[in-house]
Amino acid sequence: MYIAGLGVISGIGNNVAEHLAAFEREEAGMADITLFDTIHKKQLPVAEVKLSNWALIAMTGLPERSSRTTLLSYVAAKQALDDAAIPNLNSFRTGFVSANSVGGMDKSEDFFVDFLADNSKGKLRNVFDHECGSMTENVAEKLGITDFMTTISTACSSSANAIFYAARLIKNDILDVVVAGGTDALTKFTLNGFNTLMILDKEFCKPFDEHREGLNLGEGAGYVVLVSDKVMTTLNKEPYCKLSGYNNSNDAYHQTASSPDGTGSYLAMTGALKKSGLNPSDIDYINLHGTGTPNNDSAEGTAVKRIFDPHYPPMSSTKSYTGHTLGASGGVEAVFSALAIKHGIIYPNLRFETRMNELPFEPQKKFQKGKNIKHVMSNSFGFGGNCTSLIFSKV
Amino acid sequence: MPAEKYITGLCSISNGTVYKDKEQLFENKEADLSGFLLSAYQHFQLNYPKFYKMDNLSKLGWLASEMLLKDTFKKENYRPEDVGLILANANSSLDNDIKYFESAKDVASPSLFVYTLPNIVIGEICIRNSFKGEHAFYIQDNFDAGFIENQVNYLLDNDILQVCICGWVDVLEDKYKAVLFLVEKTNSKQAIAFSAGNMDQIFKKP
Amino acid sequence: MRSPDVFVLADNVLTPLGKTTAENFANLKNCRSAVKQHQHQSLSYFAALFGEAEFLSNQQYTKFEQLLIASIGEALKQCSLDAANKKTVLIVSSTKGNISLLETEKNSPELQKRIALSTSARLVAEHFGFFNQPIIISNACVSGVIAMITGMRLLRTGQYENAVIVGADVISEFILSGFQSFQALSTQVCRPFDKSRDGLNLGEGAGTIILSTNKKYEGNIKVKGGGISNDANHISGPSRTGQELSYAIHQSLKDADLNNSDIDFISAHGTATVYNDEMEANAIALSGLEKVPLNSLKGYYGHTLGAAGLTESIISIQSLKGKLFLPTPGFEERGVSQPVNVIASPLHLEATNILKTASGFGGCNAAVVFGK
Repeated sequence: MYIAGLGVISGIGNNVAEHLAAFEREEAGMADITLFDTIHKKQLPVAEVKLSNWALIAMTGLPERSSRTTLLSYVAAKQALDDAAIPNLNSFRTGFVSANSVGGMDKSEDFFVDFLADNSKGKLRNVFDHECGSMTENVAEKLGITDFMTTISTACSSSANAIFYAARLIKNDILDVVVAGGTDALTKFTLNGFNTLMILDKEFCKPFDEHREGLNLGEGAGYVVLVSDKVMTTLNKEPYCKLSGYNNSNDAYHQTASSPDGTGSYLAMTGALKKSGLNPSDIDYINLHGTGTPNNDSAEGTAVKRIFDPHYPPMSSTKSYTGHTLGASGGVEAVFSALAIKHGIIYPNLRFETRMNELPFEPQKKFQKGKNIKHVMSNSFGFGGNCTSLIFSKV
Repeated sequence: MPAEKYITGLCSISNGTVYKDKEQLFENKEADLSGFLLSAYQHFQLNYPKFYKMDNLSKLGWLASEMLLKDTFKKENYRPEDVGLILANANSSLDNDIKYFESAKDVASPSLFVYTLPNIVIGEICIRNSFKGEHAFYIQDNFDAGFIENQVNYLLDNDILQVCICGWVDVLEDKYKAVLFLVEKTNSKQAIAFSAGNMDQIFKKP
Repeated sequence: MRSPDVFVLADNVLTPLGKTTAENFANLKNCRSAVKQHQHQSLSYFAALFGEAEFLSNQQYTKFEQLLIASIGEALKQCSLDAANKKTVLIVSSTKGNISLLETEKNSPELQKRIALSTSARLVAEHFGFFNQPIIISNACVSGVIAMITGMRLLRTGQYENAVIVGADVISEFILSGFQSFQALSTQVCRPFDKSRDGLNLGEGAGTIILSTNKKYEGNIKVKGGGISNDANHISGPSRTGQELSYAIHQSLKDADLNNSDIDFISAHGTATVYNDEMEANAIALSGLEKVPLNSLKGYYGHTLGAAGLTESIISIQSLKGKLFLPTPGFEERGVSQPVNVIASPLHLEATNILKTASGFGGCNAAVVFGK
């Protein structure tokens, strides 16, 4: 299953090129909240996409009432499809597998406030696209993908699951081309929700640091275009890489916390390695889930130790740049993994200072490129114990 | 008292060509089977998302039934239980069985397993059209028009069905052929007599 | 002109509980079940399988073909029918036939030809010297019932005078992995119609029934009528209402020239999946048959797929003849919405007509009536 196209939008850039530049400049996307009014203004840093809804509407041509989630999704998915540049796309069985967790919540939460005050108020059309599936349908329609579409929503592992589901659709000869990934927009609902869980950092997050205090929320969308062998031969370009391994396992521990020994993470990573037929020592870079919460980084770190000790590959959490983009994170980070292979990049883990006491390793501190990166592991671990690990390999 | 029966519609799909009532409606000889089925589906603007989940046997049979019935079959004249199907092929669901078996080496896919039975194509056609009448799927080395004629005659003569779709739908890798007949008791301008001889002739030369 | 009566002149049931109908029935009377726990790699499951050393595939015949041959052979022994008789037809019912060959052989045109059900039917026909081209039915779990209905009709129209109808399926990794992927397998010996039912057991077996319109068999049990329908709802889930199975039952009664009050016993499909049993109970109630005693034999034999319609009909015919109907193992507390009369202990009953029902993937339903 080859990856023939990439598209991404997040707090550090509106397309692939901008992301590569931001990574190299070691410039994080966190700042104060500007998208909406909230009591957390000036208190909680977030990594917003630096385009207003109006700008996105102008760019995409989508209807004004579109949810921000849809807008971000279309931008990234269109980039990926254009990047893949598949001639005669119509002659192939094409699918769109998109993930998100928040759906059209940005619009619904506005409706709700007005409606709660007076139930004759509030614009009903704002809740029209509330559900997650609507995001996918609206974007598929605009992309002109009519053959197959589906939505996956498994919290923070959503778009990673979307990607490997897409791979299986191709493997089982049900589709030839699939645009897969995910999207999520920042909403008051999410911000307040995560705040009550007390896992947000009031400063810029420090994943895998001993003194980490939590995560920063982000938003964005990331998609890859997966194609079958048959389609790859019709393309005038080299693939970025292939998806060589994947696994989804459940931690079976707690709705929002990870087990102390990182069972789910461990099973997902070892499962993905087994699937790809690789040894831990074959992995050249790990894109950690690395949210920056005490709990996740401990659990993930423990699992990494169990698998990779004593030879640790370079690793980092790009959430130190983009914040946690929730349902989009798997897709966004899949794009980063593909770029790592293509350009030989090792992303730094910004603001890392002190190694975690319980771990005998630490993430990378400096941006590097031109390295020989053959295999990249990307982790996405979600609430509900839903843990997914993907492995991308050079072709 | 045996009723008069007529073939009021035909659809034949093979060699990259779709024929309805002996007229060529679509051709795509360049593509492989998956590509051909997709292009035919798109050409006829069929709009039925379930199509994408079907295996090639079901896609072929379903497509043939859509073409067979389009503009020919007056569904409103019949109750759901009045319409049924008698189909046959040589390779059962082997084309999909092989794919399912490959998937099972990794993770067995229920969406592929469900198509490892040849009668599922009948199920898909029934679901699409709400046909609830009698049906059966037979395996034959070669299309046995005489046998099919007897089965359909029995059903229509005894009023078990008022309409029967019968014929052959077979797929195995890149070899495929579908020939469907719409059999009714009512005559029409282009209808021909329902007989094994007529079916055989059409089967050999769509 | 009335159609001639179609008589049952011989039968055979070949399962892990015995090589003949009599042997099977004796074991069933003693509450023996063929369903045992098995292990396949990391999967623990319950099924009724032949011993590993039984019916090993050889150069000439695969296990599947050996089952067909053994069952037909036993049935033919019981009657004076000559297989080579020009007015005799062989009808074969199976869902997957020799599909297990995919597991051991490399895919090739030769293998594809070997796997084809026509090949198996031809080999079996040649073994016995059947004169006419065999008829093969592959219609999911209702194949066996459709095979009997097809045979009955071929005899009624006079095209043939006798029909040897056989059905079999072998449980291979192909089938096991498939049902497992559907999460359809029970974690215990299956419990049809029970509140705690959680899925089916798979089973291996073969069944043969020989029918004839020859008047010398007057007095034998008759196949009186049959009906088939489609749910037109979903390819793997059953109808939400059971209306379509009820229609098939209605058709079979009409065909048999009987009313629902004439049915004394029902041999249900009763696979013990949550959905099938609920749908089937609804269908039975819609047909006004909820008071009629019924059983499911799947707790003894598992679900024998292409053989099920045949083996279960034959056992029920034995019950009819011996005035003894078998309880439904695994059934304790009714767990379906309709108050169907599932028997949990042996029933001594002077019965005249029995109904066999079946349903399967693809939305198919079939019913057949046997009687004195």
